[in-house]
Amino acid sequence: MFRYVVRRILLIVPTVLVILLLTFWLQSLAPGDQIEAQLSLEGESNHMARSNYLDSYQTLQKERGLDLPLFFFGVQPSYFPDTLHRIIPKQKKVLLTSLLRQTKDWVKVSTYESSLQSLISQYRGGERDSKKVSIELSKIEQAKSLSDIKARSKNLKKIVDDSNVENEELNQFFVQVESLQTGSVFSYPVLQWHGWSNQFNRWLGRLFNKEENVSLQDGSPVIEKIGKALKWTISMSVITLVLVAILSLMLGYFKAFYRYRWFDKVSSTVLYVLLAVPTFWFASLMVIFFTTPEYGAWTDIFPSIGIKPSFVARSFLSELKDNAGQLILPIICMTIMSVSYLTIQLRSDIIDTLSKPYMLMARAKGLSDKQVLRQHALPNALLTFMTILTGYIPAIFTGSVIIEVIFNIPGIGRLLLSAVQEADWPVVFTIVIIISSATMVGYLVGDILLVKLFPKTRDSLGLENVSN
Amino acid sequence: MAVLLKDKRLIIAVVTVVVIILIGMLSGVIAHDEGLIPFGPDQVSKEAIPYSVPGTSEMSDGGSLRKHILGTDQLGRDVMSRLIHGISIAMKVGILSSMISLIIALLLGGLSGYLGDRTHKMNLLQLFLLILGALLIYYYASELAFFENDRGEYVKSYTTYGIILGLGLLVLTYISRLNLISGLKEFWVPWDTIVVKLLEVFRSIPRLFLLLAIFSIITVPSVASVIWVIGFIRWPNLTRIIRAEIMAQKQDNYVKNAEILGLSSMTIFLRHVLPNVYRPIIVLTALNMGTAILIESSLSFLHIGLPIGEVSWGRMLSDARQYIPAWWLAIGPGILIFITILCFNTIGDRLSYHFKVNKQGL
Repeated sequence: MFRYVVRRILLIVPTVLVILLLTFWLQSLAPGDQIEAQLSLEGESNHMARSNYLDSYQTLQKERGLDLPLFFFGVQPSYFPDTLHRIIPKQKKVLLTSLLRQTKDWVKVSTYESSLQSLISQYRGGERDSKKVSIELSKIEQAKSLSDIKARSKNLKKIVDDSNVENEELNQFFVQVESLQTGSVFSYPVLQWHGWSNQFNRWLGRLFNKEENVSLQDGSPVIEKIGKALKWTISMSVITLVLVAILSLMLGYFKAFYRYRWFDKVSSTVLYVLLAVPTFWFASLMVIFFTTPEYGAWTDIFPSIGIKPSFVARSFLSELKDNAGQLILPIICMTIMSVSYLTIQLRSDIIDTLSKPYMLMARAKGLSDKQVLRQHALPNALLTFMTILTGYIPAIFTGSVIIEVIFNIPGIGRLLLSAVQEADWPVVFTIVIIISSATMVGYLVGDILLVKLFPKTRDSLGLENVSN
Repeated sequence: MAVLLKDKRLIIAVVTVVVIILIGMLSGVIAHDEGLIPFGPDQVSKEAIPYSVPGTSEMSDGGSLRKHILGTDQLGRDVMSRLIHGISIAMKVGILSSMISLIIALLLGGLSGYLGDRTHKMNLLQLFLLILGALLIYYYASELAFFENDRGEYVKSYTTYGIILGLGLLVLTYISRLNLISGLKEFWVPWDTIVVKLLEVFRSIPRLFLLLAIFSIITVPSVASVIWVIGFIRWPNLTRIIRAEIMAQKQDNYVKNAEILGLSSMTIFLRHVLPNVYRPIIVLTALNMGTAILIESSLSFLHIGLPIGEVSWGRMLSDARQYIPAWWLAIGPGILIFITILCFNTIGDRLSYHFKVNKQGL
């Protein structure tokens, strides 16, 4: 057993690594430019003095390590230059990369880009005609494809021809735009080694550093936020799990005891129907009908939803006690959803066991129906029940996102949802990593518990391989 | 078959699903200006009052009286019409995403269940070629898939991307069977272990959390992205069961007979094993469709995934929470989701009873 546990713990390490890689990859695909967002928060906008803006952009980028290559190594097309990741800001990098993919010619793209930039700075802040030119130039800068660039530069040419703006550089620029063609170079992948100074490495180092891994929304440490949210989620799910275990055990037992009688039949139908009721519908109905006096005074059973905000620092337990009334309804909803499945399972397992030959034996030696059920059928039928129940252990950490949203409970699910909606990436991906790791530990604990309770399940864990 | 036809619950469930799908397909005919339900899904008529009670009537332009059978929502749109138009999204997501997860599950489940750890031998050269081939196919698929769309953006076409990757998979299968130099040291390829470890990794990431993380990086919401993501998220559950089924089939005598006859493992798998696992596949697909619809409506309930203009039951339910006295907003979509899922569950349960399929863990 000990060797099995050690082996499982050792297996967690590569799994966590895969999850880290997966989340980092997802994060690198995240839309938006976090440096630009940060700068605009600090009041520096793209339209102010351009060189100043780019300077502060670069400083902040360096500070966050976002100017580094993404990973230890990378594969890119052969026509890419190896300094592409240094282009700032991110929006320009994306546009240029796309143009480069289309033309497959870095020399032409870079000369085009540099002359465009020099023209833009030349015409900035001009009057009349040069203002028009400036506007057209920035439109070209925003173009998303080759044909777009060409169409927009034709517009510019028309304006230039109509007005008396004469500039050799502009003419050169038009020639350069003309020379940009859709490329059809044969390309091959080039493997690049970037070394240890890369974004993944920095990100890993920052992930568990309380000061550096902060929320983009309010600058508070992510770990603290998650800790606060987990308290609510865990306390709710533990209560739910205990309730589920007790209720379904009782219900399943009584259903088997009164099998094929009206109690069994009616409750079977009810449970089967409940199984298909979507959690969020059930919870919404509860909120709509049982928290307001709208539909008659007797339906106003439960207090209004939502956790009372606490403005003074106090212990979590006293907060929990204060909000106990608000937690009743969500816990009822979560419990009912799991109880129906477990009870149906337990009942059918007990009835299966009852048809075994040793049950006939037990009856033959004169045991009463109650004795047969309690002493022989129930203990033997508990295996599947406990397997499913221990399978719920990891869910302690995830809780139910939808229940938390509906009942306004500041748990982990609602934190994740709001972080997703506010594009708060550090919070989103730290939650995914921490909860996944906790889930793995939860599965391990569940499996160990199951083996301790039912030694015959050792085989299903592959323990026989360990012993030899 | 005769047994199936006698099962009342199964028949009722199948008929209900078929009727719902038919109504969904005819939603454009049934619910529009002059249809049976005289309102379009997004139609905000002049007289429409937000939150009007079921049964409220209003005069149409032609002078006839039109009735809001299920009342109106916060913008004065007819709830009944929106319910009917919501069917198509739910069914699209349910059917198509189930197909996607089923294809992934058959590929991986077949690989791990049929080949196992000790069937497929490979030498180092083949392994090298396989990895190199996979990298090259991935690279050229992403290179060739770019095109300029009509909005003047140079973007990746995911259809082309998928087709190239699919063709690449066939090429890879061919490469893995190619034996260029004989006499190299061969080793077993532990396909089963690889897939099982992959399943374990995915099991440890909570499903809804992964969904939220994936949808947070999708900038342009679309129905297709919802279908793909839900299809992708569901593969581990299906793979686990299909793997077990195929493993069980492999122990059967007919596989050994075919092996003795000298059929190639590919032929045995495609011609003999796959047709024999149709029962669990049908059961799983039925159950999975219900789950996919549930996931879609949960996501829409959280305002995630679908584009804003789409009519979805989940989103209608979340609108109901804005104004508690409007109970009719919560009842309609809830009952429809409930009935759809109940029917799919019943079909799956009854079929698994008749076919004797173990559906534990789905």
